[in-house]
Amino acid sequence: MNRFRPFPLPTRRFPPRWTIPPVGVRRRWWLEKRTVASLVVLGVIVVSALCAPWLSPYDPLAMDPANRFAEPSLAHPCGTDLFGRDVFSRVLYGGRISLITGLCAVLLAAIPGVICGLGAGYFRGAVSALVMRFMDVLLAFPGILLSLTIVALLGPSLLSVIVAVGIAGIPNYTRVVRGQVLVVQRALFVRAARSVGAKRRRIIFRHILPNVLGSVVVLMTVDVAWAILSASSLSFLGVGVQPPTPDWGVMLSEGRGYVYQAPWVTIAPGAALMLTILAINFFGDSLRDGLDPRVKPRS
Amino acid sequence: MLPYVLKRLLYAVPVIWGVVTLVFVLTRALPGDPVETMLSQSGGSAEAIAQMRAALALDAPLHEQYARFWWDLARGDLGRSLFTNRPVLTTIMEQLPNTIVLALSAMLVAVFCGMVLGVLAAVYQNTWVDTLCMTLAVFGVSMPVFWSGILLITLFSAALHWLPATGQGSFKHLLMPMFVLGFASSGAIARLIRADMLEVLAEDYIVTARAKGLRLRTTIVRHALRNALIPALTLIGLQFGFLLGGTVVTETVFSRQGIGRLVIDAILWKDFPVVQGAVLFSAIAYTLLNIVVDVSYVFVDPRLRSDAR
Repeated sequence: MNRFRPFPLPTRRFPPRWTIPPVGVRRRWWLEKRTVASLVVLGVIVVSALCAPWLSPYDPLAMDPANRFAEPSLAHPCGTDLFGRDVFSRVLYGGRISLITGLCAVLLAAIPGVICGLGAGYFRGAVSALVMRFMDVLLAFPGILLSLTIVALLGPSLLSVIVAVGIAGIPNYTRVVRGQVLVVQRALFVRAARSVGAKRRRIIFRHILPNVLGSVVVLMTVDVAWAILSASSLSFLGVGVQPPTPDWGVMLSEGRGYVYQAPWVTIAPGAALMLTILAINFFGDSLRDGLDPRVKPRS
Repeated sequence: MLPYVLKRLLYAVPVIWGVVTLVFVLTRALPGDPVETMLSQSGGSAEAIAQMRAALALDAPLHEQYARFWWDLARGDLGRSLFTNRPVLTTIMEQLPNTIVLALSAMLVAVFCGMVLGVLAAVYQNTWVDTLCMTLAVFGVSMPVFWSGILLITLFSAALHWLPATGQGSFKHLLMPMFVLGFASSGAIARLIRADMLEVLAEDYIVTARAKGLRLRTTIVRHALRNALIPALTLIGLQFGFLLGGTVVTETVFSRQGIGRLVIDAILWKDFPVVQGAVLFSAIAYTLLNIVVDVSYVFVDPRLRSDAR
């Protein structure tokens, strides 16, 4: 006997009350459990990264060879690594690098991506075809291979990681924005603006852009997680941020050779990285659902 | 059917041309000379740099280099490794089976896990099963492959001594890498299958199937899942690209041989012909694979056959 009631209703035909919210009642998605939980976690991560100099008990680069691979204790909450550096302090400082990389890479992807998308959507024909074929080319590189190639050519540094991850993220924005522009420019207000003789630039930036920004913001939120993950992968592979910089990817790469004797060296940075990505993904999902009127509210 | 396949192949021509050109531009026209980057860091003299530029024909005008690049590519010549002096294509072909085995087995894990999580979440919508499955799916998306790999090594190799941490050769060696990579990819598949299943489950033919007394399992597997899987096929094709990229990290974590490891080693050793060859090879292979997925879509969905004609 089933304890659940699996799909008993053809919900499309007989929509329960919650599918159509009463007029005038706005969903308060920002007060939902998963939104609040993800925001709290994100808040803790951001604050601890910003306040790393005051919160961290040790200098993240200070070596203490006498104290290498010390187990987690009150003095070193997450233990110490191969060079006796405090893992907790390094994790706190690592948050700064991850957040900076994530935010900068997403901005670097979104700005040209949105401009290309606006252009490709508004000016049909050759411009659109050219831009979209170029985006197809960028998308033809599987996974992080494009970022890997760019960072290999630019040389390993924080800036190259940001540039490499940013460039790989451009096509997503172009595709989404172009799709939205194709819909929005058929709207009456755009045709009205055109008929009163508004210039192209004004129509694009004053009338169309504000209407596509919602999707861009949602995409940017989710993309921060992707950018942080890609940047850490590059650092883990040894082509991104270089040691001894306290970066989560670098820390995992350094610690992976010692999982037998000192698993704590990898657990703390890995957990921090996963929590950050998890919180951003949950928040991104809430944001997307919150802005989509078809989604029912969660408790 | 044949015209559709030809149309898709024709569509891939500009993309492949673009990929080849982009790789050429990236390696030739970017600010910063790759040979200089390659040799100056290892302490090469100006003379050695000039010699290597001449050997790679990098001192010729750009359009000549471009023509030569295409000519070599057309003959299947991706150059020679700077370190082993072996043809890059031969090296890639040697490593290819390892990567394909890893990517395919990870794909099996991804599709299986994604399907189970997605179907359970949809069938038990808005219950704790749904929440659990979708939380697992988000975990899958959010777990960095290199961290889950390290965790599994810590648990199954360091603590329990059940599985070998590194290397390859047997199924035991493949178990952890394929699960790590597959689970990372299953999250996206699970979420899409859930959404598709929810739509299909509201269809009249499902209500009819339930009304005539068909068992729950039969309704789900035979009527709902088969239809819900069609849109998921595109995503599964796209995920293969993610898996191919993911093998770079997985092969590094588990010290396996493969294309990914080849690229990373080539980057670290500044072996620029190998990097260029392997990236080009992967991108072209991925583009062709997407065509295969598009064509298989027509086979799976009979409704598309008339459009494809």
